[in-house]
Amino acid sequence: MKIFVLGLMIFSGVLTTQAGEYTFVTFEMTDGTKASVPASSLTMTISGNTLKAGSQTFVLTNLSKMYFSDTNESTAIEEVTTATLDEAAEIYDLRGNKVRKDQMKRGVYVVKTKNKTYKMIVK
Amino acid sequence: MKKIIVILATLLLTIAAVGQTLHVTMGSVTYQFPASQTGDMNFANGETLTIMGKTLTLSAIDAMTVDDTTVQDNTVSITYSGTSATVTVAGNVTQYVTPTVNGAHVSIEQTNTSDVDGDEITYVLSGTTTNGSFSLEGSYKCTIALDGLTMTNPSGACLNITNGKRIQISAKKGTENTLTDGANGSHTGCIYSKGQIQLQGNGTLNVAGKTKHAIKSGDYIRIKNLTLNITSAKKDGISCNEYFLMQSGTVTIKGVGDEGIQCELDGTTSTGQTTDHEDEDSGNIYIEGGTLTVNNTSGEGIESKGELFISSGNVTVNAKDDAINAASHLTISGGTVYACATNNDGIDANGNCYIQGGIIFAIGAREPEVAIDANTEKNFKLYVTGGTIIAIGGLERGSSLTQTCYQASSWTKSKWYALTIGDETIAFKTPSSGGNGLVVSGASQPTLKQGVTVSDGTEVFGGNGYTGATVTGGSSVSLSEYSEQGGGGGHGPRW
Repeated sequence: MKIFVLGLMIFSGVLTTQAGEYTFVTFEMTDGTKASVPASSLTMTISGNTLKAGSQTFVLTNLSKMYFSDTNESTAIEEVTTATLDEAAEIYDLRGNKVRKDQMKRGVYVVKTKNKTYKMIVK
Repeated sequence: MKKIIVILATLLLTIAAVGQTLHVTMGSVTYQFPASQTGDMNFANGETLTIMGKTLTLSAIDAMTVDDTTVQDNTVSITYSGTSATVTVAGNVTQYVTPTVNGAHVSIEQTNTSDVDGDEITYVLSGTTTNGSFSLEGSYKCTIALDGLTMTNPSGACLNITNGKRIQISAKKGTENTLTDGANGSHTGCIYSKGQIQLQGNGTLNVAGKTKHAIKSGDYIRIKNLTLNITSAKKDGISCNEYFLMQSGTVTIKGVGDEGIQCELDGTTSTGQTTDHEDEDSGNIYIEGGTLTVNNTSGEGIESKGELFISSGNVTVNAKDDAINAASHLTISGGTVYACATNNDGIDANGNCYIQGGIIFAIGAREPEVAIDANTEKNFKLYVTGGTIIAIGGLERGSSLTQTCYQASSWTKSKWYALTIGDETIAFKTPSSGGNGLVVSGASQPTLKQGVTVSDGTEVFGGNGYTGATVTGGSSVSLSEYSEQGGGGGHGPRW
């Protein structure tokens, strides 16, 4: 009987591994930063040069990979300084449209510099 | 302890039901990637995304969603609806499959699947379309599972498989599937396969061929379990090369314009029968089981361009030309065989004809046709060494009758007769027309009655007979030993 129970437990463990449900889908940028979005009922759409995943929007050219993950692996959002903004090579709105600095109004933008990509909120 | 087991078992069932899947939809095609199998999904230059070896163009992706769907590995599902179709591809085979959908016409290009676990993709076809098809290219074996498919293709074949490898076409248990092609096309079959076809499954498949054959294979065809109804064909009901093998199932063929079943050589030289039919190209037909019924008012019922073997099963053939014909030798060693020809021989071998066993009711047309024929003109013979035989129209002259045959001086049309051999009685109904002479034979001296009433038994011979019959009444028919030089006329080969 003990062997039977042990067998069941091992089998159960195998199945647990196979059927494991992930909590997040994590996106990794080309600069190494990561952003995790909840996987449950996640919908992702692509429009122009951006990929919208839940509440997050990514510039396609900045994406390196995505994968399912058990934990939130999001890299802390770094403060965008004036200097950084000055270094911005490209700025995109959430629709993936490229904008100039003087066109930035209230809203969320993706700021891409030579070394990193930032999410920026203009209030 | 019991509680622990119950808890573990419940947990197992719960876990087994859980899945997590990334769906990538591109037009009518959705790829389903199980979260547990995806690993890293790599983007490249903002242009492509590669998941499980499948590279997808980002601009062609309509949506990606994650839900709790459980994906069946190795499976591609095609669902038809009117004039459209959707394709769903399991993640583990996406890299081997390139689907193209045009309305309800679905084409699949399948590449090397040798790395697929289980080594085979199953295409599951379901739904209804009035203008659709399924085409498959590639060179690797696979299964096409029909799961309640009703398909009409007015402009071509329903299933067009240019994959040269073995293809299993399986009607799923409990389903009825109906395929109808278009008339006046250039295709060779409502179901066409360049390579070998194994028809199987515990469901039903109905096929109508309005341009040429109902089912055409460039290689062999095997049938197992399936209920197959060929409802019409401009040419043959089933046409194949190499060999034809029926192992079990129920096959009914009617409404054909040429032969019911025809098997030809693929090459120019026969390999003859090989062990387990490995690499066989013989043109042979093997019936080893099941129920085969052919009603053909145009040509031959079953025609082999090589040898023909019936070792078991229930075979019923009504044909205008020879009911059962072999270009070479023909052997019946078992089964129940009814072969009725209205214009030619019941059973015709253009080589030797060997009757070794089985229960055979053969009816040939008027002279010079016979019930059972061999090619005496080319020094071949009819050899009777066993079996129970009822032959209306007599036997080929010059036969070798190791088992004694007996002849009734005459027979009466459309009457029930009872042939008793030992303690077994077979009742049979004579046809409304047929050649002269009634010959019977069995393992021991038979007795024959005519005008009997049948009250019980197992129906055979397409309703024209009963084995294990219970009969009453009737009058005895005088039997005399049949001379191997007597009986019907005999003639040269007809192919």
